Amino acid sequence: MPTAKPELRRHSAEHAGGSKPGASRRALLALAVITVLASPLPVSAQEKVTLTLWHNHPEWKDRVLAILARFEKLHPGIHIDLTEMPSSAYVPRMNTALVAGEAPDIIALNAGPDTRSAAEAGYTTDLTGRLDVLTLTPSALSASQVNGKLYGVPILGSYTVGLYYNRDIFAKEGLTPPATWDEFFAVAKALKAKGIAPMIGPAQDGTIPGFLYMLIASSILGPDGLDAIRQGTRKLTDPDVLKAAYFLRDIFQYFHQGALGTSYTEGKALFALGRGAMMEAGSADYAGFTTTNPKVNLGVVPFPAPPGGKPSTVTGMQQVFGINSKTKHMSEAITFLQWMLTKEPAQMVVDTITLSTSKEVLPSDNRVMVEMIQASKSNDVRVWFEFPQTGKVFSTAGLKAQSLFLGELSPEDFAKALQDTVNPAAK
Amino acid sequence: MKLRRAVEVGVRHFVLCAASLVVLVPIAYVVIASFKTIPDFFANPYGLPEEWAWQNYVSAWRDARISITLTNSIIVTATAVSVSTFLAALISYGLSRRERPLAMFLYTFFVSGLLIPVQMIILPLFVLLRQFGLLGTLFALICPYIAMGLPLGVLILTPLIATLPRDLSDAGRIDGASELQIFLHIILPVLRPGLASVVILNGVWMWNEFFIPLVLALKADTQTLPVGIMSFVGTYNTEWGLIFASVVIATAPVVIAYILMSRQFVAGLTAGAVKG
Amino acid sequence: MTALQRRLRQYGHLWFTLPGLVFFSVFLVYPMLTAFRLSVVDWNGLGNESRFVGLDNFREALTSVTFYRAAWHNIVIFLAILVVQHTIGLFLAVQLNARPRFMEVYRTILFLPVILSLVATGFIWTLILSPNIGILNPFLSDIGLGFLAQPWLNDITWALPSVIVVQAWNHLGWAIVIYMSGLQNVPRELREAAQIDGANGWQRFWNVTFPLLSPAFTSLTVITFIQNIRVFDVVYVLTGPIGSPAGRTDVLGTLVYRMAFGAAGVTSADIRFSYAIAIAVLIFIFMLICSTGLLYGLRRREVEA
Repeated sequence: MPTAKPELRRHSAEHAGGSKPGASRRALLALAVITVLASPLPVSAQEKVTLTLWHNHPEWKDRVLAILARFEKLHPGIHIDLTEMPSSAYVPRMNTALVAGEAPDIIALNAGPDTRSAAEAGYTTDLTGRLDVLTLTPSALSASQVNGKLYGVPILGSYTVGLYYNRDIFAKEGLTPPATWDEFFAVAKALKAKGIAPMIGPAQDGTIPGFLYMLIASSILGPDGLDAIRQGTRKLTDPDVLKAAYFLRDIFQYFHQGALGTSYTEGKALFALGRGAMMEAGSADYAGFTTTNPKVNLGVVPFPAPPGGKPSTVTGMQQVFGINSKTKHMSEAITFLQWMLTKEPAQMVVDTITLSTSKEVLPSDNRVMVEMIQASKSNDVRVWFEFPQTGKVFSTAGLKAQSLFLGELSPEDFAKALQDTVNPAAK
Repeated sequence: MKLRRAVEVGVRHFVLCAASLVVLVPIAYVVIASFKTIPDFFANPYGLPEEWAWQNYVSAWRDARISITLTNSIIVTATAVSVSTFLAALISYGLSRRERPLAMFLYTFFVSGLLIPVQMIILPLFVLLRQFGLLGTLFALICPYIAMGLPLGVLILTPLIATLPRDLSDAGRIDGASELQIFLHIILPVLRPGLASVVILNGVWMWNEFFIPLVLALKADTQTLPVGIMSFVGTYNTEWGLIFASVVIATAPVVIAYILMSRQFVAGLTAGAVKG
Repeated sequence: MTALQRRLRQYGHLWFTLPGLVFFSVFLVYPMLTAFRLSVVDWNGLGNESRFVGLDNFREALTSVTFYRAAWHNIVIFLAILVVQHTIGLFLAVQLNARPRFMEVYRTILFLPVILSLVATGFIWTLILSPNIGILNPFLSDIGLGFLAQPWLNDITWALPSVIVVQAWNHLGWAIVIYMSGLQNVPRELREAAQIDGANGWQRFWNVTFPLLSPAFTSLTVITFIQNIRVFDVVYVLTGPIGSPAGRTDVLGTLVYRMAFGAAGVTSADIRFSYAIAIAVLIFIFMLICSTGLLYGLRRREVEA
């Protein structure tokens, strides 16, 4: 069966050149002349090579540029041209550019299905054996591989998601961050009684509700339980796992007012401004919090545990950076990725942006990152959407959570809708 | 009778003033909000800023790269709207004898272009522009805009030309003018109000369009104003004052142009809108 | 003159359509035909994996509750806006047509929202209605009308009406301008004649003026239909990609966008590009049928009137 993509190209080619052979030959000739005239002289040693790079965290721009400046200082022959855009703009642009063959030299994609699709379609280069990845953590390495081959590296770190709390509010109210579900409800009730929003819960889009469900369910399941879900030997509708749906429904009452009308981005700004006491968020969000409010005083703990369970975190890769298979500057691109795996940039990442995927570095003066690493030692599970079998649980949870909150969907039906998207046969 | 008339006039002004306030107050508040710092939004939601944060405008101008995107928006809109309107006028002249079945078919064919959802064609369009080597240039926006402007132009201009008296062009023919000369020197001038409404309608649309340049303007140097603004609205934090400042900057050029030419604007619009 | 020459002369004008036809076919029709082909495969928009599935995407859309809910919201928005335009819009146009002092100032102001982009309109109204930075609720409670405050955009009852108000605010200028131009076509003598016959203002309007506004009514209805079946930006900025809360503001535009480009930045697992294209094709066909029907029906009414 012909695939859509080559088909698209073939027909366009026919259309563009097929109708008038004479005219098209003349056009080609003209084009050739223009190309010869316009093509740059052979690149001399001093000439700079420019690598294009798109990325989807505008709020990190200054911090990423600082790292790139360091690279360019050490490699004067290479310039990295960075374009930052928000995720909502990034996905349509990157996906369209990939299909049309106009993607940048360095291709940053979400770990999991995107990295796999791009690798299988031949958009990104097989880097197995061409990059030294000994410093990568095992989970970072496995997230970068497709069918055992390396298709990129997560050079801008990983994110671990836990429960942030506002230290100033907690200190003032004499509260300690909760470690169990019971403690969570006690703390939330106390805060609400004081007129403080216990949790910033932006639920206009599905991101935060989706992560909350993953966290809660992970605190019940642990890594082994998630494997069982992926293999189909356990189900999200099993009585013990079903409690996650109940818990998600029950904490909605402690979200800030207007939660259903607050987007993820807006919610983060509200939390940074101290409009609520707690928020579920990741290590990668901390940079944004401090950008909005440099004085914000935050702490982080793993998400509270169910009775008999362990507090949990979930961890995913920031994007995996691969190399465009059509790039004209393969060796420069490899040089860049290889440098990003060394200690100096990894240290800059963990000190200024988010957790590093390098085994070799620890945050030097970033207390929140240290706390996050501490939190992840309790019961850390990989984000579910990086696995093909559970790829759609997160987005479905995000889509259905509002109905759960509003009582239009019972926790049982919610869990069933999520279980229906689990596909143990997916590769 | 006189009293009744006075009451009528009073009520009329009251109604129109109220409607004008409904339009102006939200816009005024955006201008006010664009001078606020973040804490100000909560401390004092609808009052004036405690201190006027001009800084918002400085940052918005610099970080949203408005000097580049503004130039691009002007070039793209001006080129696309003039070419598109001219071509639409040509088409409409060609179709003006609507009784011919082929002309009627072509009219329907062009006008149904209004109904195409843009998400549907964006990917094939991208591939096509790449085949033509237009990606990364402003033509990647101009060419599709020209095509997308045609349906509305044909919709408005064809009935206008059809109502022109036949003698007008016949006079030219007797003088031995070619059809093209007749079109350029006789038809176009009398069509001016209709052309104005096409220019305005398509111009406003092209200036404000967000999704198409988001995907098709591949290089940062070819982005237009709305894309620059939206890329400025970061994923992870929300600097409301800055966002509103950038919205004001992006909107001001059209609003100023509109106010300066409001009479032609509205007159142009009314010329074409009803017939058809 | 030979038969051929006569033919050429007869169709001579059609050559004028050629340059436009080239642009139109290359940049609009051809991509659309390609899109039709994409709608019959199963493809996520990125990878290699795509297989021919025939009409499965269409079948799925036509049996999905989400699709009908979104389409229903489009229709509700269209009808509500239509009512607003044919009442408030017409009323304001009549007021302006009476040429009060400052008529041009009023007209300039009332038409202003039309030239604002929908993205800008969305931000303007976020500032008014947002649960976090909205100024309407604090204002209402400060002037003692706190009981009127509502969680506008995050309430299942108020979200869709809020979207409609914003869309109406943006589009009302159309109705005013179109009706004004229609009113200018009503001969003054006709109304004066009616006045002499002793008809009062309302009778005069209803029996003499209104029937003559049929062309304005028709174009406005069709324009409103096309605009509101395609509505996207306002909803996206006000209530987000999933039509919050609980799908109460989901429209076809957001549904297509979500399917084509995803709703969450961290994963694209939910993207189904070819399904999105199939929905877009359905929207196109639906609009084609409805606008043809609308035009036909309304034109007939005009003739009868």
